[in-house]
Amino acid sequence: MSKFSKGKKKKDPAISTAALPDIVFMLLFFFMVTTVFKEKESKKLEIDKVAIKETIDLEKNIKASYFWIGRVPGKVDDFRVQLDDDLINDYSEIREYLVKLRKNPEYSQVWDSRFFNVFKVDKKTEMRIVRKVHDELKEAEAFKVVYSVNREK
Amino acid sequence: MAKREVEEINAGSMADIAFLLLIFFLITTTMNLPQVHEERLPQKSDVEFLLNERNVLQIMANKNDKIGIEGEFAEISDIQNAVKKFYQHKSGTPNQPEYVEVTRKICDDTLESLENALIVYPDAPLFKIEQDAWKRRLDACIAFGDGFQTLPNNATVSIQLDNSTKYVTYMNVLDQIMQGLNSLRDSLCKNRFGVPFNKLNDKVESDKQKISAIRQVYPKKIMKEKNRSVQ
Repeated sequence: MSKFSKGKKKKDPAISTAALPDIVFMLLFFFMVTTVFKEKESKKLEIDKVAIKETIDLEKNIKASYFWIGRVPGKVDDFRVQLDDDLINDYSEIREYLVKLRKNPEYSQVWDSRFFNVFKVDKKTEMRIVRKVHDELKEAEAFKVVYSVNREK
Repeated sequence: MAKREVEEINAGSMADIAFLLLIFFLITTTMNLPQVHEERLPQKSDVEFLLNERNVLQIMANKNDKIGIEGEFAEISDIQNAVKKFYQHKSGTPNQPEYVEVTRKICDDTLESLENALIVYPDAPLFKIEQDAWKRRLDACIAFGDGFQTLPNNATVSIQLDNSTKYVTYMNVLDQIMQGLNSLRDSLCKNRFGVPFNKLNDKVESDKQKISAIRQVYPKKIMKEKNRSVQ
C-alpha cells in the first residue's frame, strides 16, 4: 500500500459533451464551404485543356449541352467527339440530338438566351473537327458556343 | 485539503464561436466558376458580304500553326498590337478603317429617320437591327456625356484558319485579340470613369451602362471565315 493512497478511489466527473455538436457542425460547415465541385469531365476521352489569359465566368443557371473533343486513350491520333455521354459515330447525330432537345419546353424557352453549347477541346485537335461540329450546330440553330479553358495567370 | 467538485465549463458560447467561423468562411469563400471564351456562331446564310479591305484586319493561321497578319508572316504576340492599331489609330491612316463620328445629335437624327422608315416598312429586320444599334450608341453618348468615335459597322477582325490548324492556335489568336481589345477598353474606362474596366460589375445598373458604353466604342467584332487552305 502506497503512502499516498487516498483509500477509496474517487470517480472522475463526466466531461461535458455539450460542445460536441458544435464542433461537428463547425467541421461540416467548413467542408461544405471549401468544397469545390469538380467540373464535369469526360470519361471516354483524354483532354488537355488550353490555358489563355482573357477569360470570362460562365453564366450561372444555364442550360447546356456538352461537347468533348479529344483523343481516345491509348491511341495516338484518334480524335473523337463525345456528346453528353456517348461518343458519336456520325456528325449528323449532333443535329438529331439538338432537335430532340429543343422539343423539351425547358430548353426551348431559353434557347436563344440561356442555352449554351459548352466545348471542351484538346489542344492538338485539328480545326476541321471543330468546324464540322459547328456546322451541325448552325443547322440546329444553336448559335451560342462557349469554350471551356483554364485561366493563365 | 478540502475536496472540490470540478466545475462544468460553460459551453454556451461555443455556438457563438461556431457561427462566427461559419459566417467568416461563408463570406470569404468564392466558388470558382468555370472559365470560358464565348463565341456566337454566324447564321447560315448565302449572302456574300463585300467588305472594304481597309475595314478588315486579316489574321491567318496555316496548317503548321504559323501566323500571318494582313498577308505577312508574324509572331502570335504581334496580333495584340495589330488589333490595338486597328481599333485606335490616327484618323485618316492609310489601310486602317475610317472612323464614324457619333454624337447625341447624330443619334437622335438617325433614330428619327429610322422611326419614319419603320412606319413605311414595319417588318424590315435590317431597320430594327439598325435601330437597336443606334439606341445603344445614344445610351453610350449619355453615359460619356459627349460623343465618341468608333469603327464603321462593317469593320471586323477576320480569322482564317486552315483545316489542319490546331485548336490551341485558334484559342491563342482569340486570346491575343481579346487582350488587345481589353487593354484599350481598360484605358478608355480609366480615362472616362476613373476605374479599371474589369472592376465594373455588370450586376450594378450604373456599371452596366458604363460597360455597354465602352463596348460601343471598342466592340468585339470577330469574323471566322470558312476553313480553307491558306498557303
